Amino acid sequence: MNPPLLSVEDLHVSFQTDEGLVEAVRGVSFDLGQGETLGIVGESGSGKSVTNLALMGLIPRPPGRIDRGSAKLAGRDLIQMSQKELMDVRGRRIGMIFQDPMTALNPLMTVGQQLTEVTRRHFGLSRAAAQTRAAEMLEMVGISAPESRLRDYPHQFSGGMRQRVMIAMALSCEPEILIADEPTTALDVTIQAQILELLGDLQRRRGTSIILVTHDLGVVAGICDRVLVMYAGRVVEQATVTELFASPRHPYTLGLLRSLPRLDRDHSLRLEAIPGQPPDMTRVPAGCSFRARCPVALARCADDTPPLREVATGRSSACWHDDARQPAGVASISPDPSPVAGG
Amino acid sequence: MRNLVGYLIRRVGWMLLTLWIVYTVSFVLMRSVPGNPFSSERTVPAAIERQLRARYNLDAPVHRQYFDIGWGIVSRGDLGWSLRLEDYSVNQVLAEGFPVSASLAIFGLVFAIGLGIPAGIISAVRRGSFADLSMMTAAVLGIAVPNFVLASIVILLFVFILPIFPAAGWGTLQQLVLPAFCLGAPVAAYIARLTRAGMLEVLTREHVRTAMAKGLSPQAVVLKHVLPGAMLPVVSYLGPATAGVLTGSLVLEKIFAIPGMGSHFINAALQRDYFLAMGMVLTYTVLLFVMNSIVDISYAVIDPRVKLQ
Amino acid sequence: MSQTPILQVRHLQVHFPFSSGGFLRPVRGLIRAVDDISFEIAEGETLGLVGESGCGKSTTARAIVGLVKPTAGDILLEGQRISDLSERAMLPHRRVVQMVFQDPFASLNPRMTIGSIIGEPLRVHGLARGRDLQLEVLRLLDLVGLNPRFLNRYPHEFSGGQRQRIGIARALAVQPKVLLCDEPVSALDVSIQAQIINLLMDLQQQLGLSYLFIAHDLAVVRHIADRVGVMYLGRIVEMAAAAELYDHPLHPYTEALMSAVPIPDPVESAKRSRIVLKGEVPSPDREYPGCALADRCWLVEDRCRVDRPTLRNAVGREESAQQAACWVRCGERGDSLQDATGADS
Repeated sequence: MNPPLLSVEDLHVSFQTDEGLVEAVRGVSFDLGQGETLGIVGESGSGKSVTNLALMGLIPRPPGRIDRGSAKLAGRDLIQMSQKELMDVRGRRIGMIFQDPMTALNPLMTVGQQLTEVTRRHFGLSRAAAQTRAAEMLEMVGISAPESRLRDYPHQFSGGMRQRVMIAMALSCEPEILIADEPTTALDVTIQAQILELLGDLQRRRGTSIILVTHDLGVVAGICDRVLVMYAGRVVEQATVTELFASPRHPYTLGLLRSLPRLDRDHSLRLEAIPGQPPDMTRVPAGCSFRARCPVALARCADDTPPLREVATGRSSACWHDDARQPAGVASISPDPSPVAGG
Repeated sequence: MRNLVGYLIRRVGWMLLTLWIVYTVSFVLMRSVPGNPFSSERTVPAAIERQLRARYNLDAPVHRQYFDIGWGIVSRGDLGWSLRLEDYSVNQVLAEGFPVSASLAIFGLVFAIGLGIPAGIISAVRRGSFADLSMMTAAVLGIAVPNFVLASIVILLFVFILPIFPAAGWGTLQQLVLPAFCLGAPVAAYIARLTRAGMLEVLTREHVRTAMAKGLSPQAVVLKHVLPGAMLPVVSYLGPATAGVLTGSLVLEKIFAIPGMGSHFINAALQRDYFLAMGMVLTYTVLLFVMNSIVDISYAVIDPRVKLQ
Repeated sequence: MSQTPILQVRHLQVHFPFSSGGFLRPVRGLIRAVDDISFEIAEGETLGLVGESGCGKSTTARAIVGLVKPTAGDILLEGQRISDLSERAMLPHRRVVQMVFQDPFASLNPRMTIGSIIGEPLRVHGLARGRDLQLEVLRLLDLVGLNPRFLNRYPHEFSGGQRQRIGIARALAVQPKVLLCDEPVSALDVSIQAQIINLLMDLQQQLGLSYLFIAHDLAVVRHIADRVGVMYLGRIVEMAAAAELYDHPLHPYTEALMSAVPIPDPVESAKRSRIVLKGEVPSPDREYPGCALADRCWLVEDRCRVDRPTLRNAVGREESAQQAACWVRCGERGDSLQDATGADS
């Protein structure tokens, strides 16, 4: 196998808040391969967005801090880089798009000004060359009459069109990695479908690696190759997309999948909700942070934090059950619904 | 562009209407207060007063006066004669005093903007630093201290203790520095605070993060993506600020012995100098309209979402 | 469903006039937020309303509770017309319909304790006071699954899911018969969504409530609703029993909408074919003489642009409760059909 393009190891990020120290990311590790689409799934506060902001060096400091860890992009550690070096990575080697295209573009500058800014900064293009390039990019993301649209301001575009502009901007320097942070959450379903189609298509044509951050398992199933599931600042499961949905290993993943109402299935009377709520990040209990909501928690889950370990080739999970499964045969957590008590 | 023309036509229409109202109100007010231009400490013989009244057309019935004066202004731009400054027409008084007051105001504003905006930017970017703290303390003082007190302090400092600038007078650039400083200081303080607040607000917006994610330098992000948005409240403030500076120069003109319009303003009202008072009020009305229109247009230039109404 | 439906909406229109443009010739126009829709909800029934942003689903709910004034049409509660009652005469009816909002935090006064937030409607309507009020609030907290200890806490001390429970308890305080739920779970995390959906379904069973459930998430609506109305540009383009709608969508818009919903299953997801509609939802400030979808529809015919289709059954399935407003799928028939309102009464 080729060496990964990006290799994140034991990343820790914390924030100083009024309520105390929040350890938003607590030892996240993952690899991103060339041309791969990696989904990072989690609920709000799971640390999925912070992880990516940390890679870009965009954690506001203070109150944020990267306490530990490394993130090697083709061998060079992003975490150790100076702000100056990071400036050459951002927009050039890693492009980023955000959740709300309504607010992510500068309302006071034309779309053309915002698009040309990137290529002029990184490629040193002349105004005219940058303009041509910007028009090409708009055309590529499916915006018609690109030359004239360059003179328009963001408020003259619809939400879906603005997200296309964001994608054009993020890809205009042909970065190796595109980080998409909830790129379709603010959009309507039919527009979401268009944007996901566009991302998938661009990915196939250009071979860009994508990190797709989302809370929507449906989106993940549609376009990702591999998935990380995060909970309370940690990765609890990592698997290929087919494996994850076919046989989730971690009780949290399983719970998430069960609690989803689905369009393609007859609805049973009740959803199997995960009881309780995610821990208060200022007071994360010791041990496994999902313990309080876990239907199959063991005594040792309270004391020892289960590490993320490989449970099969290319697949890992952070649960003591995986440890106990083979030798002791403790209550397994098969995808069969019976052992899980309803919410 | 068509937007702009329409806007200007509307503004001029409103201005004419306002001017007419201002004219009427001040005409009525001036004539309804007790006393007249000739009833001062020195009693004027009745015959002479009659003569004077006839000369200035003040013996005509009030409604005739109202129309005659109004017509004079509309047809010839003639604001009439000053009743107190012998042999000066109001137009002449304005032509002499106004440029002086206006240059003082402009210098004051330039100074206020030049000092206020950079101070606000630095304060916001280095929030919580010593520089931020000291500049914002200075800003609070600048707003709190009345400009005549400030004038006494700077005269003491820069005329007597460190004789760099002349104490008073008009005509050289040197003489302009101290009064312009005193005039601009409170405005600079406001601008600094508005800039700082605006910057801090825009800095939290998501598009600033997008700009960072594009790999722009922090300087480029601040200048291109943060500052324009942060300037919007400052621009709004500049309209009333200009008016304030123009009218507020009154006391400073006295202290620094500057031959501007300030002294006329009070005297004209106190001495019932009907025509001069009227002329000044109308001039300032026009000025305010012009300033506010400039503010509106700049606002629309900075923010494309704003439509000129 | 032979009794009088608890809530009937007949030919409801909500138009917002706006003016903009030039100096001498201001352009005036109308936003047709809700453009002639009719539906009814039976006792204990859940009607889902789905559609994309701007389709008028929230405005419909706001018109029912009187937050916006209908331009035309009738709203009937328990068979009685309330749309043209005065404020005073409305008051007793207000209790019957209560609303649950998307963002519970924004709708909870941050300076009031949970106890007084839930107790307020009781006081306003003079339903309880003193010790009775206290007991009633405790009962409501228990009903929505909140610990009675929370009584004296403030909204900011609660998580999103708990706040939504508080919002539901407040809505239930006056013992309404209909809850209008406007995107009640879309601001919540996935694991919490299911809790709230379950709570709403339990409450319906216990209290015999009727729901108008408005959401953009079709899977959630399918799960909770008995019948579903699909809205597009202020109109209901399809109305059917939930299962029927999802199994055989009749209107092209429903079909496109459904095919766009991502399925959390990579195998299923790969098998599906997506219908991608051309372009985006057009502005509701234009009048569409024909079908509102005409410009984006792949089945479009000439008459779609000229005549406005009404809700009809599909040809050959006249007895079904599924109706769509589509000339192509629910072809021509001589007689004009009863509209949805007339059907049951």
